[in-house]
Amino acid sequence: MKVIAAEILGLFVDDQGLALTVLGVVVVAAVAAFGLHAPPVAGVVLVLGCLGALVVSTMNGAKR
Amino acid sequence: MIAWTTIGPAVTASFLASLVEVVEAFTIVLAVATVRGPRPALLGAVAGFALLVVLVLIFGSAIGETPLYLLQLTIGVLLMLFGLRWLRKAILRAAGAIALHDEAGAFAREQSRLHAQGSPHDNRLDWLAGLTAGKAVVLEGLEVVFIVIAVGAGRGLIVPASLGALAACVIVLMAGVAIRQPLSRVPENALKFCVGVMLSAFGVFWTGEGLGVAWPGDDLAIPALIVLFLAAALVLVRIVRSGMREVLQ
Repeated sequence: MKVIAAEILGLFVDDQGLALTVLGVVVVAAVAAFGLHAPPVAGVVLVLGCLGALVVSTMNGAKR
Repeated sequence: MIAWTTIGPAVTASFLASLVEVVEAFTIVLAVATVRGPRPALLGAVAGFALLVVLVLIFGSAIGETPLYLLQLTIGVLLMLFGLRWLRKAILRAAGAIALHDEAGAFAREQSRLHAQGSPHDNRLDWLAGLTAGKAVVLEGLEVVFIVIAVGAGRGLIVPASLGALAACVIVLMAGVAIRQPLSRVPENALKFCVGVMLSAFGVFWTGEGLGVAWPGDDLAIPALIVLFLAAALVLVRIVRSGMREVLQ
């Protein structure tokens, strides 16, 4: 069961930096959508945030 | 009525992702069958499949009772994590920064691991071999189940997405039974690259829907996001590849 639990976690988290950045992007988008009542801003944050997270994580991965 | 712009990417993503996962599971089941015989391999695979069916029934009933916005938000976030992880790895592999997945190598490693467990006449090893096959089916199958639910649940597309996954299973099993060798010629990284792009796009779309974002063009935003992630990924491959060349020179 431990192996299965670790494998399930591994489905979503490989590079911890990428996972944390994506979660951070979702939090900022949620604040924009529910706190500022600006869902279009949330959409922009999601798209640009995920692309930015992918770029940074991939470049860091290449350097390693 | 659900548009083809939604059904097409959902079925394609579940088909391609399932193709990759079923090939990986098949490699291990085949290694078990060649070392310990077909019986423990088949029993393990069937037991693993039965466990997956139970998990699907449990999660399937829970999904029906979850509010749609919460389902879209949860699945969207998980899809972004899953898709971006696959896409990052596929970009690094396509650029040559990390090694490609080697199905023939995985087959050989699994065979030698099973050989190292003891004498070929030790019947207890059939249990271990069956467990190995079952574990492979469960672990790779969980990814298939997640992808089918993730791309299908947000718009009631579980059935088309499941059919995509089922088609992949049938194709891999037919090809595998016919050639009885690991399917090492399947272009796994290209498939993972495509699936990573699609799942990342679906993830952003569903998360946005869960947060109340009114995407321009509604469902047409999905193919637009796919094009955006694909373009970004292709540019990243070029940048990483040229960076690698500079380092090597």
